[in-house]
Amino acid sequence: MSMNDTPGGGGGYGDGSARAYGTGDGGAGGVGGRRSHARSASHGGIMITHQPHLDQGHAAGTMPVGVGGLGGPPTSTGGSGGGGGSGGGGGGYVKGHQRAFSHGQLVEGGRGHRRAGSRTDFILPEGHEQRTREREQQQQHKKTLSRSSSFPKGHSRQASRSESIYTIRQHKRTLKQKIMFWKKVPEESRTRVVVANHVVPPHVSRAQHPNGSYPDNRICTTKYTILSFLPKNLFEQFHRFANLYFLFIVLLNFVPAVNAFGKEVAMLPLIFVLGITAIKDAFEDRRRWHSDNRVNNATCRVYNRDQGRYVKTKWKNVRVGDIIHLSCNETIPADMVVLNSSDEYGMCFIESSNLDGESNLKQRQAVKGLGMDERFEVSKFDYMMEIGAPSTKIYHFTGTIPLPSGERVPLTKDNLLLRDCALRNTDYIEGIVVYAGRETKAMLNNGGTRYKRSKLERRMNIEVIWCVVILFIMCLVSAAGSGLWQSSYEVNATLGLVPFIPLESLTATNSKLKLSNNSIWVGFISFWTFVIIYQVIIPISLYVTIEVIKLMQVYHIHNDKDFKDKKSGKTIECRALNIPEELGQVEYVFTDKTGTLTENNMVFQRCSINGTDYPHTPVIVNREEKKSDQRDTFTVNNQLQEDLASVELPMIYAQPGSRQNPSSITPAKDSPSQRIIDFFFTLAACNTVIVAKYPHHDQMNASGMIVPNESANNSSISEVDNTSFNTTTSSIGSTSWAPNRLLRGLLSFSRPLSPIASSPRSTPPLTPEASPRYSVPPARQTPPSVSITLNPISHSNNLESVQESPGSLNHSANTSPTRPSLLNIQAAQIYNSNIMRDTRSLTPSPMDIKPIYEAESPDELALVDAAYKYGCRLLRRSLHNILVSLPGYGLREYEVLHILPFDSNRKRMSIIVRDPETQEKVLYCKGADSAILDNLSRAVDDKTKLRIFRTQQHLNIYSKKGLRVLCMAKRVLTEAEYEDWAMKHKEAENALSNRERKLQDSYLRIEKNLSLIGATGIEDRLQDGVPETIKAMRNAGIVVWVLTGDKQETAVNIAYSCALFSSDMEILKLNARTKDQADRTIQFYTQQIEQQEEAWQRQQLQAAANGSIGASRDHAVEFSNLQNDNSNQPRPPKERGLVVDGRTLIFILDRRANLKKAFLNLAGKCSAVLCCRATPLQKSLIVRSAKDSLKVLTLAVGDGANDVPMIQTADVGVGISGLEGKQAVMASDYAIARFKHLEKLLLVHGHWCYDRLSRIILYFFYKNASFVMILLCYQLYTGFSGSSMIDQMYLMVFNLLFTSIPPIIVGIYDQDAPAEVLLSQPQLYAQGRESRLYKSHSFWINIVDAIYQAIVLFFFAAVLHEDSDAGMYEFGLTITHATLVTQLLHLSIETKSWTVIHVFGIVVSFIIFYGFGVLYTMTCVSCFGSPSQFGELSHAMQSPIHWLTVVLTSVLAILPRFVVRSLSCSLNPDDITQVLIENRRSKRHDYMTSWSRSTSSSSVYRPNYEAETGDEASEPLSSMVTTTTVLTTTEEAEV
Amino acid sequence: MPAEDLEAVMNKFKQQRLPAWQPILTADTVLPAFFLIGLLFIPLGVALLYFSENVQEFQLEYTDCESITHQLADGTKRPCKEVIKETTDVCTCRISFNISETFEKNVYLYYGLDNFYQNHRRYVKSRDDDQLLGRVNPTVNSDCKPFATDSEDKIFAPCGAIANSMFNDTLRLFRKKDSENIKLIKKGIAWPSDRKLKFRNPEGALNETGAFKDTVKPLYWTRSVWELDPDDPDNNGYRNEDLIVWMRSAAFPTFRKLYRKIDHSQEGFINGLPADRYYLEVDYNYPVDSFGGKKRMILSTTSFLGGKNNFLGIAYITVGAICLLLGIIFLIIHIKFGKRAGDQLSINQNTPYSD
Repeated sequence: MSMNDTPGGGGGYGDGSARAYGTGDGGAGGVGGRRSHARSASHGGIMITHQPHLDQGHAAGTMPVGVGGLGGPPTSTGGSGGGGGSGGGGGGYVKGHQRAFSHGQLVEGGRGHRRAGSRTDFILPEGHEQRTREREQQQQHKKTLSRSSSFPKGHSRQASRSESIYTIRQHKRTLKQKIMFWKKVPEESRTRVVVANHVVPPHVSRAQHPNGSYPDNRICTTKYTILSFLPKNLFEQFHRFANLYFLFIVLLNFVPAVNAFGKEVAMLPLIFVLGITAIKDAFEDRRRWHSDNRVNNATCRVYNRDQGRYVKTKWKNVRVGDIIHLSCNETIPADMVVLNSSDEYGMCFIESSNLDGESNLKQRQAVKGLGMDERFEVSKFDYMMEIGAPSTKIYHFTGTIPLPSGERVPLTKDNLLLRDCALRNTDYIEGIVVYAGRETKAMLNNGGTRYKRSKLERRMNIEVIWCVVILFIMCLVSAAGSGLWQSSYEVNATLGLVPFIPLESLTATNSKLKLSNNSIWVGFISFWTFVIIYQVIIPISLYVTIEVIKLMQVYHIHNDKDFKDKKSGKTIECRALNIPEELGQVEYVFTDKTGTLTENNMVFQRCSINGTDYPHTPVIVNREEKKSDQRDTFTVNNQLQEDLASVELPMIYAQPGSRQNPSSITPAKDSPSQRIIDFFFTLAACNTVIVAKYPHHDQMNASGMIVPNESANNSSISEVDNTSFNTTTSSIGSTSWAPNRLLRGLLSFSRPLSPIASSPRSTPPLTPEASPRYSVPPARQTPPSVSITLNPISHSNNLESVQESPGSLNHSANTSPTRPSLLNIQAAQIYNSNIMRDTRSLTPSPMDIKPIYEAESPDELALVDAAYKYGCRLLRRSLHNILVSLPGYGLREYEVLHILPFDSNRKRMSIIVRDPETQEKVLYCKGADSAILDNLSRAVDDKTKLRIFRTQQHLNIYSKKGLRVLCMAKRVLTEAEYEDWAMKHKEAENALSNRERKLQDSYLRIEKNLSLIGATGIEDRLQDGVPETIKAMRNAGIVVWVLTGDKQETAVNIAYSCALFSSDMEILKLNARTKDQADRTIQFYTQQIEQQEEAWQRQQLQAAANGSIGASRDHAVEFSNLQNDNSNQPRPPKERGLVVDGRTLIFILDRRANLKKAFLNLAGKCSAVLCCRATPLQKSLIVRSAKDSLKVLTLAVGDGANDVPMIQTADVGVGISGLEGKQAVMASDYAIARFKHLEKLLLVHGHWCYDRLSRIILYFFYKNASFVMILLCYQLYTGFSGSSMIDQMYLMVFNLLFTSIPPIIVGIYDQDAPAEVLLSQPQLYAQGRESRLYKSHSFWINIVDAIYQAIVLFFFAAVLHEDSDAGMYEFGLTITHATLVTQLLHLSIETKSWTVIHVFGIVVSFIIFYGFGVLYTMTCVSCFGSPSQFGELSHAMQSPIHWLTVVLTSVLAILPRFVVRSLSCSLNPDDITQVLIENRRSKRHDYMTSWSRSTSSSSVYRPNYEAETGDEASEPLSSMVTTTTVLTTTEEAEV
Repeated sequence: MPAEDLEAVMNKFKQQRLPAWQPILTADTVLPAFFLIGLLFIPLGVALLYFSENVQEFQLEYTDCESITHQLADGTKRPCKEVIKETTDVCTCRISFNISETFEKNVYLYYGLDNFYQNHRRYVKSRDDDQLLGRVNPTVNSDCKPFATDSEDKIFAPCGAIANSMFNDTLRLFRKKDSENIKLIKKGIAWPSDRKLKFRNPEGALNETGAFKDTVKPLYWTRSVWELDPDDPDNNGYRNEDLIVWMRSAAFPTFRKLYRKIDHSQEGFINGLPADRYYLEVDYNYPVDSFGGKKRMILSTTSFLGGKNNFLGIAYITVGAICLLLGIIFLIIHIKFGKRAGDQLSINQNTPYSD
């Protein structure tokens, strides 16, 4: 930032960037490189999008360590480093520092740095970043030499935003901190000192150890320990309202005047509930403990001082200050600073997908300037490190290493490796642990599991509150009654004592006696008594029951065989136990695309060259298999191979060995064969693929021993040198296309290069002429015969055919006496220099020669792979040249003049190379069909026109098949053209205002007059059953949103092929570049849609008035569909699909813009939404806004770590347990193996669970209410004294024992419809989605039913028992019995399908009732301090009145519900019943027809239900056509 | 069950694919149920009504009966309820009544109380089952308070409000013809299980020095617990059946309790209680004024249903009738609407209505 404030800031800018590309001319250059590096970091990629490129420049600049290294700016104090202007050395840095300081921007270390970085990294796409920056710069320019006071302000605002964006989790003050608020956080925590542990003498006590105060690397996510379990768990359980309530009741029972039950008996339910919950919690915690253990006991290699080598150590024993050695693909155990890397420049790469979901590789840099750059030795590392306090900010890290010389080596985020990331593309690294265990950024950002409360449960909790209200009213009424009753006896008190109103005391004084029998006092006391008695209305057993039900539901989901993926053997994993019913209520599904809908496996399927279509049969492979050999994804097309072979043969035969006449070798400029070569060259070269040299090997084994690696790279490296190069290449190049030795040598110094530089600005260091290495096209020396026989493309499996020629090996080995200094040999030097000698004669396996391609987008990878298969191999890619092996040419190195990177406006990328032979400058362009075809050269002959036409036809076929299509084109540039353009382009690059626009213009200038080479069709293979699943979900009324990071075209294509969009949909696109534009576009669309709808409604109304269309909208739609042929008939508005891109999302999600509502409104009118280029955070924000603003139940499904925020935000998070890491799975509530499993999970299990649970919850409310109402009724006969005719034991266990099992069984096993029906009729899902079963009035209906039943049950029995010699408990037992029967009958009505288990449940309930009765009333003569129940049961059972009462009252009690149910089923059945009835009828009909056929051979029309639905599902997808936008405001958007 | 079968069943269970019966409560499926209930309940109700009608019952309220022992000087008779407020003497009334038709054998004599809340929460609890079981404890259940101990900390035997308020009128029946005292059986009126296990006397002789040492008679009682039936030790003390009957709290404030059984072995009562004029002589002790209660004497025969209860029969008939009616309604519904969906499916005529 400071740079722009300096006088002549513009100069500073250019200066800095130029230095970034400085090619290392001595110390000054080194300084420049370093400085610009620091600066670029602070600017978050200000002028280029690719940091690696910069770093390359930087690295090259700093190679000679010396003044440059020492002259590095003090990043510890000023994150963004020194000033721009003056030259190297200490003076420069001081000056810059002071300047920066005077502007007050760098008061705190690295703050500006962090802000800028965060914006770039997370939410804003690069373009945006550049724009704002440009604007700032413009501002800056206007206020040249001014103070620009507004500037910092703007930044602070951004800072606040970035703060929330940057940390995944807000840093919260802990409870302890809050309590001890007076205790200030010690100043020490701002910075801390870390010392390498091996420097500290052994046996230093922990307290004195400099790193002693930092936590070790053990992580602990468990909640409890064995000791703390009981108190902590109880404490947590009593946070639940229900448990507190019951505790209160229990305590109330201890008050003598109030108590209704025996104290012990009253505690029974509470203890029961607490116990079950505690067991469940313990079980869950144990699971966490196990996973912690697994992590803690993972091993890594830690440097051991005593042994002087690395020793295998468990993660939990790793401590701050330990030096760790990591090999490729190992997971980083703790946050550490890289000290050394196998890479000669100290680079290493990490993949942080476990942390932030970004799967692209991030480059990290070993700390430089410690004087150990040449050779790192652990034992010599004895520096002290000052680092910042641990924070949640992932990409923020500052620190310094003070050198003895007084200088300070800055540490930045580029030096930090984060825990849980994986090391990639690097042999090994060594680093020192700076944060361990819970202080690592990964753990600080680990939010832990959240308790999710389902919608149903929230609803239920509201009803529980209503229950409290009912309880209160009941208590109040009863208490009032009690008072009144009491007062009626006060009058009589003068007449004498009332025998049944016991006195408080015999000797009490009159006044006290009066008080105790005072009606108000009695009322007050009895209020509390009633609270105890009526407590059951708050369904205590409900919570436990529901937990048990959910547990079992989850168990059955888990055991469903249909969720097992046969390929991977993975099955569903239910991680959340408490939200199965949410699956049945999902309204919005947000799904990731790559890896979720698709296999994330791009397969090269078709290509069209010269107007010929070459289809390729994809080889279907498992993803696992694919890992091992990424290239076997399609079989080579024989025709194309022959065509390709026919290209080479003439070439090679024509001029064997001739080097003098390149033009005759090269086929005619525009010949078909040349185009084939060009085609493959474009595939191979025009991309951003990183070529890695070979699988990474570390010589150190897991326990820290150095193992000589058989196929170690050292041998081959040592054998390659400049002098031998020509011969080597010539000899090997002819025999095998990819000589491993050569390759290794070539690749070893090219690996860390970034493929895309914005454009090389300065002259490339090596022109082909200047380079001694590849100037000779090797093919020309080749004897033709060898080339033919060993030509890999003539074999189906080229790799097998690649054989090392022993002669050439020996030859190269013998001719390599010296090692090139540039090659990567550090590893060998450090460990064992003998290895080199030992392995010299070893023959490396052919596997090694396969370059490893790493690309950001898998389709580039597919293209490069395809080219590779046809022999056109990308072997090396560096900033300025590409080494390609071409069939018929052999190795050729092209000089890269420019790379015009891809952007979504141009929809293409180009590369300008200089042909090594002809020196022609050729532009190769690859892009979307529209982007290429529009820019083809107009002046062409008919033949070409035909070719273009045929290619277009092919393209149409491809896109109809759902393939991603790309076109390849080239343009040969004349020298003049190029020079002219290059100059202007450079101007554009250096432009300070409108740079991006100028660049765009510049790109457009050169990317025209193209000649078409060919086209490709790549399939992003959808997972099995994805279209069907999406279709089913849409039929079920679920709104499906696809959120993807992919580019728009790809995403739209996939949306079509996965049935998200259909061809008859209207696609609306939101591609806004400014906030206003976004606003306008949304408004525009919304208005349009509203107009359409209004018009449609008006027409409908008219039609309805005419009586031609029914009132129902569905019917109307159907009707009008039938009438579509009739052109007069108004057509209904089409279904709409909405496409939003990431940039527009920025504006929409910006809280200040207030666009969210309008957007969601618009989205609500569309049946499918597609968000492309969405960052993980945006994904989660979209989910959140849908959840919060639309108040819908959301489900997010994703497979990668980039979906984690989304998964965690959604109500239901579903992870696809694919290959990429476990993060999505870990964050999810349900992990499924394939996307298609979602269908059954939602439509069947979700439906069932919702159906079951909602019915059971309502049943529970009813059950408890009816029971309590009966008690209330009895109060009318007991003077509201709070007496109950049911014995307290029965009262307590009635819910726990007698009536708990059947509802649980219904809750687990009941099925309102069989799975097949639910799957075939997705619309039945609407029941759960619209919460039809449990509406707000459902509760009250059940309460009313409960009141009715209570009245019937009680008063009928009362009439029968009044004025008889029946005892109170006898009566109570009759009531209990009748209530039990009624409640079970009630449940039977609610049961939709009876299985053995249901019957078993009911039978067991009765057995328990009678069993308990026998046990209790036969054995317990005097227990529990309550009036004895001895003999009551047997007496009641012998009494016919008892049985008659039970039968009569229970039949009468359930009669209304039964009648209403039957009536609704007969007259107005709901969807499910309808389907079931039809199903049954058709089945019966099947039976009837088959019977009639067998008897009378008469055929009857039989509606085949199954067949119908089957047809629907398998409707061919071929009808999908890419439709374009009806309204394109995007033109307006494009600058 | 063989192992593989079990496994198959377990598998079905796990997959939630157990064979299931899915009743759909459509008109045609519920029809039979309604008719069945109707057809079962109506005859049952009629039968119950018949049994109930057969039960003969006679009630006589004697709350305000006039004393034959206490008269005013002017010869006017005073109601006993007045008398007992003034003196502790036994006040006796005699009421005559007519039995118009013979009561069939096994006639029971009940006393009935109105408006007596024996089910009051604090009243119900105010007892000590342990004490009644004959267990001698130094203290009694605190629920007995304030009828646990007297001012000298002597335990009431039995303690508690229930025992304290025991009904203590004495009822005697005379036949007018010869004024003979009808023999009444006072044992076998309580539940056998109660007598067997719930009520026992403490060890020792049934007197104040033996079993009931250190106890005192309840406050409202005129006699001690061991004087309840001095003639029959098995019916004395806590085992006294009148006490046992009383201790079983009634469910409703209006209740009756079995007092005696007519001894049908005596001459003239072999077949029951013949129609005649009878006298009821009451030793009026129990005050019901303070709570506005009423006292009744009830003579009743029993059926297998117990006492007279027409309501049960009527209720059964009503419910049965309702069910029949509903059945008819559903039949209409089924005929009118039931085939609606089926029409679209072109079912042939042979298709039955129900499964």
